[in-house]
Amino acid sequence: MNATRTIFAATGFWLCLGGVVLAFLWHISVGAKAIPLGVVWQAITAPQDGVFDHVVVRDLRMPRAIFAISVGAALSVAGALMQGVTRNPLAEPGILGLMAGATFAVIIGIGWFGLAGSAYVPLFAAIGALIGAVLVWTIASAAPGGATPLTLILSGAAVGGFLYAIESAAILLNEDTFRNFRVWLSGSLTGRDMQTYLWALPWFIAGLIAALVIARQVTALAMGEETAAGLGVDTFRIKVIALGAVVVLTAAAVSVAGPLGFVGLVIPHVVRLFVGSDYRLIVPFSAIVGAGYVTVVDIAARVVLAPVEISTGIVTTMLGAPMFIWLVRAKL
Amino acid sequence: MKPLYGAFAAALVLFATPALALDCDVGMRAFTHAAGETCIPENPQRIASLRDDDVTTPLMDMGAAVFATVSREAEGGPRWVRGAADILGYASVADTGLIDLGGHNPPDVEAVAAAGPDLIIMRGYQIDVLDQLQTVAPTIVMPDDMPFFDHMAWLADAAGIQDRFDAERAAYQTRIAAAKQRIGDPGAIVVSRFDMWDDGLWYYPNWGAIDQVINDIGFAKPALQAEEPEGFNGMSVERIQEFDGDVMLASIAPRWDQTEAMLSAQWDGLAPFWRDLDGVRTGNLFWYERDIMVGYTFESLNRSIDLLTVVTAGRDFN
Repeated sequence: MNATRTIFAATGFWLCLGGVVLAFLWHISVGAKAIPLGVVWQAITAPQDGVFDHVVVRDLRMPRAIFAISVGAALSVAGALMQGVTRNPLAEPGILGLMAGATFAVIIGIGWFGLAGSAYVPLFAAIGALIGAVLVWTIASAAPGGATPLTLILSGAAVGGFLYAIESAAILLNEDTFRNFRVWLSGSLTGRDMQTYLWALPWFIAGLIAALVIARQVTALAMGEETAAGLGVDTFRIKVIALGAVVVLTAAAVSVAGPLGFVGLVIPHVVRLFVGSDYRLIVPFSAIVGAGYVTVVDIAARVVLAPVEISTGIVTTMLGAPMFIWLVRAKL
Repeated sequence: MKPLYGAFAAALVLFATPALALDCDVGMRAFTHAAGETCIPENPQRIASLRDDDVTTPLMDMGAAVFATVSREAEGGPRWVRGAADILGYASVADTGLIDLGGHNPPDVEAVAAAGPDLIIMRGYQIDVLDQLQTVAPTIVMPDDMPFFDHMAWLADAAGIQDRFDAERAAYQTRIAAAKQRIGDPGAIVVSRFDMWDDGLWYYPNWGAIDQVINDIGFAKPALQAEEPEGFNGMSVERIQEFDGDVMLASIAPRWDQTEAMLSAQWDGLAPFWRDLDGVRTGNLFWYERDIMVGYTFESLNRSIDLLTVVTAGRDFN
């Protein structure tokens, strides 16, 4: 990168980061309960245990904003990596079966086998995401013409539908056990507990670090496998690391928020419009913009029908689905 | 001439209307229900109920001639009748002595036909099989979302036991009057129904017997609940303070393996500050068994009166 571009990128990065901070402040300032801004500020700077408004800000809104930031960053980076490594503009954890696999594994592992405890959630999600990804890839590869963007999407839809059918059957057979998953399954940041987040946090961090480390090689891979190999990239190794990062990031996000659709699809494309095709920029910008996006979307989920809240996943899907349709028309 | 034509037309409609009324056989009468008007027996003796909790159970409670009912599957146990199991103490459908018609959604038309009812009572969500059931026996569709006593009165009317209903209701009014006297000034006590699930707070007004009793005794309610016409779920827990009350009533369903400890732990995860509410801090959060207290029976009303009297009478909430 030349100096001008570096300065431009750095300025943009800090501006986006500022945007995330503003989104965070907005998130903790609005909600079903009207709390004056002065009280919000007091809750941050001089909290008092007995003041209910302070409790709302610190115990409800702030953790939820942190969850939104983490989940947004994770899903966006996962989507960016998938699009870069597979050279598939429609790749993202939701469309290619990882989210369905992660959700399925959590439902079956915790609900069916009764392995309760927050610590297990990311692990089950990761196993499920990996199985989902491998299944989709295997099925798509077996199709005539191999794993093209179209066969991957079709395979993802089939695997997702199949896993959803099993989930539905499991829930129907034991509605009481699975009643607690109802909201989580719709992709929601409501009522998430900090313990689950803390167990998922190392996964978030590991996935993001891995993505940043391999960003340069992913740029090469996005130009084609032969080009990347010609540039000295160990393509197999980078693909394995990318898969690991994507699985870990998806698992962490699903653990905290359930399946939030289309975040990983929308954000990398938006970021690419501004920073180009260099994954050294796409990855960090996706993290920041994705964090801000889910934070703002979650504000909408909380206030549009206030005091009743709707699932964040409903809003991300409503916003992401048109983008998906546009991409199918434009890029397939 | 135009006014003359108008008058003629009006007279035609007026005189024609009685001819449109349902002409029922001897021993039958016209009965208006959610899907129209049907001739039903004046004194039905073999009523088939296609909904257990809000049709079979109130009919049994009022002593109607219900003889067949839908039922529910139990994991590792006999089929059971929701409502009758918890309110009336019948552990299984066999214990009720009623013919088991199987599941309710969709109802098994062949099982109903085999039972040979003289009246079938169904709910609106089952309307797809109405035409088939009409060939078996007179079938009526219960209107949705009726207030408690309208619900009971409608069933009593259909079952031809209006006198029994009137007597039960009079006894209930006497018990309400006695409860009011014991409590003193119920309007000065704020009774809040407090329920929280993983998507937030929820509240439905006119929720079966418990709400009927709260209203009839005349307790005050939190403004949010008093002003809510339709109910809601998924309200943000940020509004939890508006659910505070002198007495707080939380529902629990032991039948579905819910325990107080389990729900409390779930609430701690959602909104740990629920324990700071005045009603909770002062030890005035009480749990009531949902399947009993929201049931459509006089037994549910009586138990609700008992609960509310015990937790409020002779106590100072100031």
